[in-house]
Amino acid sequence: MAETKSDSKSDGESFPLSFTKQETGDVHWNVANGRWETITHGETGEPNSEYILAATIDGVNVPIASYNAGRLETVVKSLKAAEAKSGS
Amino acid sequence: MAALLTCVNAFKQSLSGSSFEALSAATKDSLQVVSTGDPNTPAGWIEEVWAGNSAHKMEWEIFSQRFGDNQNGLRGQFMFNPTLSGADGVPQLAFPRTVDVPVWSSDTLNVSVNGTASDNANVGYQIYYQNFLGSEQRLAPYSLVESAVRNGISGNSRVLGIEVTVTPGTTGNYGTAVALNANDDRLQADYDYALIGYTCDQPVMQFGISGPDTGQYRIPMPGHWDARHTSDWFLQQSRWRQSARVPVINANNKAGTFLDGIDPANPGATKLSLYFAQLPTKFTG
Repeated sequence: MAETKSDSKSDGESFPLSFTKQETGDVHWNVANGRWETITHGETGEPNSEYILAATIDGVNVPIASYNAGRLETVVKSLKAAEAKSGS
Repeated sequence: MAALLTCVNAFKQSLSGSSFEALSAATKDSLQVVSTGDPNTPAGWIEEVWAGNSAHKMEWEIFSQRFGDNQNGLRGQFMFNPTLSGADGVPQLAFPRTVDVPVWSSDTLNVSVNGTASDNANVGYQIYYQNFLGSEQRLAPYSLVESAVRNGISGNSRVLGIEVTVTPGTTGNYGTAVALNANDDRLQADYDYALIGYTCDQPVMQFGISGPDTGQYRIPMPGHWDARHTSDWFLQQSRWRQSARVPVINANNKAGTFLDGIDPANPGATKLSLYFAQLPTKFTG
């Protein structure tokens, strides 16, 4: 079969992206307290958080991916430390 | 003397980068192999190795005069996989499944990595001592556990998943330990339970379980993202070696049995489900 070429090429559409940090809202049962509680970090006591990458398509905010906040913030800390080292 | 299954973790926060640098043993872990008094018989075997890095690929090595050679010994690669949302491929299971490498009495292992400056690195390994003096664990063979699962108990299936929320330490070390029954208290008193495997809601380099039934030594559970690796972790450990590797925990020890975690990148509180099979009779070893 002969190969066909498209005469016109779509320029594509662009969509606004957002990157937001939010609490995951994860809960677990606490046996000692006898109730469902928000999961918190064992050392800091802070609730679990995540970064959400989302695109607005047809007026709807569509989540594309989520990233563990602790891991991303560890990378941020590493990059800051590297910058400080190279600057000194 | 009895068999002992445990682990050693080593880590460094903020690497210098671009050459091999030594990792330090995590809290209460030691890179020295236990002394057996017999220098020519293997004291134990390294059965698994896992590694993790917070931001980039890296190279790791484990060596000593009596382990590989005293230069780089066993040298492996850690692949950073940014396509995995958030976890970046930690942990990677870096060892052949069925080949175990002997370690020798009183030898001190060196664990090093060659990575990118400012990254955090962890390397850990599972070690099995055949004749360990001063501690005893309850480890069952997979055949006994599989049979118990298949037959059930009095017309009931008794395989449970017990949820525990575990937070690895913020600085690459072990985090705060949590009791087995802190979040889910359903083990039936007086019964023995075989720990088949586990699943977790996000990857974590390694969890550990320790208590009276593990001789107070930490038995490792790498938190791989693929549940196929973890859901039957202990059954496979036993099956590959045709030897007992399935921890047995008595329900009466639930409050004294603890879970903890370790990871290079502070992943936060992680829900862990432990798959337990209730045994119909008391496990006598």
